[in-house]
Amino acid sequence: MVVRDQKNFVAGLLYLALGVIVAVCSIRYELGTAVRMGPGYFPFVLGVVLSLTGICVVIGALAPGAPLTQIGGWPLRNLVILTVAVVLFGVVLEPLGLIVAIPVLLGTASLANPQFSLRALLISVGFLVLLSWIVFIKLLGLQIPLLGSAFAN
Amino acid sequence: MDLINNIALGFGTAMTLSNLGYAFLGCLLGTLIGVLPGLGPLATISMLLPITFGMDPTSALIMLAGIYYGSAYGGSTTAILVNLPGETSSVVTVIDGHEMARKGRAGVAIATAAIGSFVAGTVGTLVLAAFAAPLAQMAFRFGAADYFSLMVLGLVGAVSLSSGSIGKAIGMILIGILIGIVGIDLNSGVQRFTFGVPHLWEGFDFIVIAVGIFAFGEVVGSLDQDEPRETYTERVGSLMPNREDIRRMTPSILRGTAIGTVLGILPGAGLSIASFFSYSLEKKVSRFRHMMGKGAIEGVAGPEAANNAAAQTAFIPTLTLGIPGSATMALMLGAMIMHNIQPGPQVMTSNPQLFWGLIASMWIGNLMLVILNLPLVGVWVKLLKIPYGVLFPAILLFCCIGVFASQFATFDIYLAAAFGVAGYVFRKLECEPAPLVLGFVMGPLLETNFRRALVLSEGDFMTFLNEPISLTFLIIAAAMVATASLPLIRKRRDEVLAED
Repeated sequence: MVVRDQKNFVAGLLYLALGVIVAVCSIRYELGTAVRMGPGYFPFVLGVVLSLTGICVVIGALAPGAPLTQIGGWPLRNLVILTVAVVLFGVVLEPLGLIVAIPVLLGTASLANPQFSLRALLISVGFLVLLSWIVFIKLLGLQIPLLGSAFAN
Repeated sequence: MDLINNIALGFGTAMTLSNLGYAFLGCLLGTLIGVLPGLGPLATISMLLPITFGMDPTSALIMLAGIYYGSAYGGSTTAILVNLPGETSSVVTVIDGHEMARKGRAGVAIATAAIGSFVAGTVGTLVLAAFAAPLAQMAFRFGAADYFSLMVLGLVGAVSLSSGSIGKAIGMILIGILIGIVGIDLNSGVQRFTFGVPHLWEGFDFIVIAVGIFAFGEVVGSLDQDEPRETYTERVGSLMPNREDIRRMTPSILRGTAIGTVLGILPGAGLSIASFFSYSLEKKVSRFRHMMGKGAIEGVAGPEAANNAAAQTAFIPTLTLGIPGSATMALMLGAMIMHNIQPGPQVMTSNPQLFWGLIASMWIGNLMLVILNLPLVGVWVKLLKIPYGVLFPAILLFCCIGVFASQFATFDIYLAAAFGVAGYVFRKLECEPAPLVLGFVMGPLLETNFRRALVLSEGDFMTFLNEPISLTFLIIAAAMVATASLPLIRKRRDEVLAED
């Protein structure tokens, strides 16, 4: 059995797995009957349909006429850098405020920048802190801390 | 008669100073972000949505409509100048538009796109105004089973023309619906899939999904690609089309408008295929068809007009029936729900100023795009010169702030990051993320109608097939799935898509 369409194969398996998990979890919420549906009814139906869809996609991927696709290398570096940058922003925002969060976000994210320049980074940070302060805090009145709770004494 | 009164009411609402200001701001911001390479209309709307928090619903919608058109306009500008289509419908504009740019006629191409879009937008708005009321009337007679089947049709239709297998797209819709189920079930008070996390009791915030999957995903995708892009930012040239240009573009615009108006109403991928249809038509019918592909103005005028007409009429099923025809419409629908408006037949009667004000301001927005943005082309061109390395952290920042501003919960930021990773995985597996948003937005209504239909029929599942309207919708949906799976259609569609 040669898997020609690797991407669809994996996608189909993913659907199948998710569908089964959802259906099983839904049984623990009451299913009820068609006339008096419990909370688990609709998710159960969805889980079942999702599993069936997954099976169809997998079959399609194994069919002799399926297009050849490969799961190529996944360049994870940028994804990881940006995800970490966003998470750090979240961690830092409330305790330390935008004034720290922005440099943290921009600094971490710029590790993914192939043409990194310290000067450009510093200018962006300064510009964006100012812009964010004016637009989000002053103009829009959003309750985003510029200096965080750690500075409030 | 009634229509005239309604239009008058609409303009009265839309032309207040503040609403005009919001419309302008929306158009400006939409174009600004839409021009940036790597941010399609989905990401643009997701990013700018938070700005409308705290505004009253009518003004918020007016601004969102402006953002919507602005981003489409920005996208075609980028397509012409940078050979980089920001979204499916720009793919066609790139073909002749970029050739025109190469010949120093970028300005004319951009102006053509604007003029074509404006004409189409006017017609589209009129159609929207005329058809809204009768359609809503019709919808009032839909029962729960009918509505459910219509939604199924809408969902299936929306994915039947997406690239990649329709099986995967359906799977994405289902996953989207499931994501929407997370939270407290209103019927029973039971927490579903919250895994003991109190923050999830209200379910996922719409903005978290939209920003995570679209904005974050696109940024990572753009960084991964890292190809040098051909940019023709130097010789934009004069904006004014000469007389021959105008003579040539007129029939194309009219044809495109007709195609777009009809296709946009169909709940489904009408929006994205409208420009393809128009391009194919121009290739067959235009007197200058031998020039197509080498910088023929018809190749820009027709598709852009079709695209914008479809964008207008796509609002018809969204506003009157509550059925979004595309992921972009689903975003608009989600935005409306966020502002506590449930689009559907009752919106017209319960909230007429909002409905007609929105329609009027759509036309105003189209006008603004032509008048105000054309002189600003120079500014957009300068923006395109900013290296992406500087832009993307700023984009990330606005996304993060936007997500935070929704519920002032840091947890949302983490969730958005998680969805960003999920979006990346989906993209790598070639599962389109757009249907997920469709499912997410339609999920709750789908469940409600499913439940109601079965209660009304006392548990009889055959009700979906017994009700004639419901049966009709389901048959059409099944037919769409079948034809989309047929290899013949896939090949034809791949051919058209492969023209870029």
